[in-house]
Amino acid sequence: MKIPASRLSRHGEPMGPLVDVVFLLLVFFLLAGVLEPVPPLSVDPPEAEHAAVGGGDRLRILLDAGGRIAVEGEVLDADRLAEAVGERIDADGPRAALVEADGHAAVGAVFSLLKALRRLGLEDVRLATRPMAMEADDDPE
Amino acid sequence: MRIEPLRRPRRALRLAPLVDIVFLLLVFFMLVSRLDVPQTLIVEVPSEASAGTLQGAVLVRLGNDGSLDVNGRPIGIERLAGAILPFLAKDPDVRVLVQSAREAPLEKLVRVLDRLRGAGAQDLRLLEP
Repeated sequence: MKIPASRLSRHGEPMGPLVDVVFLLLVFFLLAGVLEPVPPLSVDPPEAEHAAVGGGDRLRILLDAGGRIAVEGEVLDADRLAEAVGERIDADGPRAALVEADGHAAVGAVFSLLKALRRLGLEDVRLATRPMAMEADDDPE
Repeated sequence: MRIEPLRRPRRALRLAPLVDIVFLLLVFFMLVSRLDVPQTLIVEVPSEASAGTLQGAVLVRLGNDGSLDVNGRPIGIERLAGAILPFLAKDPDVRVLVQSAREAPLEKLVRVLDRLRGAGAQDLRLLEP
């Protein structure tokens, strides 16, 4: 039996709808996504269920599991923190901070950082969290 | 003199290269853009000036091994919300002080703060570990 070749295979697939959809996806990612520089430290924030969403313009401070600190993408020693934060505040930077600390960082290191930021005049300091994974169970401890 | 119109075969617009580029752009933006809205937890670190305002507060302590106690009574994390509710029923604005061991991982402390926040505690403060 001879099967007639379809018209589509002779003339190629219609590209118009495909281009439309891909354009729409592209526009979506352009509008909804935020392009951010690659963070200098690898940080995996702890999970939380009742955290607030957003937080406005804040000084971004990273603290990794090893206790290293980065202010606005610049890795620095703890003793240079005051200088780096002070410079940014003086340059009309935000007077609030978002601490993105790794979930495995020691509480002592996080607390020292929070206290140092408070001493520097940053009253509104928040900890970054990520949404709870669906399969996460309660800690039996 | 009659000029013959230029006979150029009308070809359809070639879309394949355009689609290639748009696909590449799409893949680029899918990989590098961040879609999630950042979530934040408000943490209050008591200043030296507020050190005298601890009266009537509930103290939740977190040990290095993840052990918990509320006002000295050992408790599991799954019962934390239930343990704090009687205090909140008496005073909805009760201050809850959370003191963690220095070496405890942050994720355990955040889990405690999250449970307390979920139970309705609004005035949460961290104490010096």
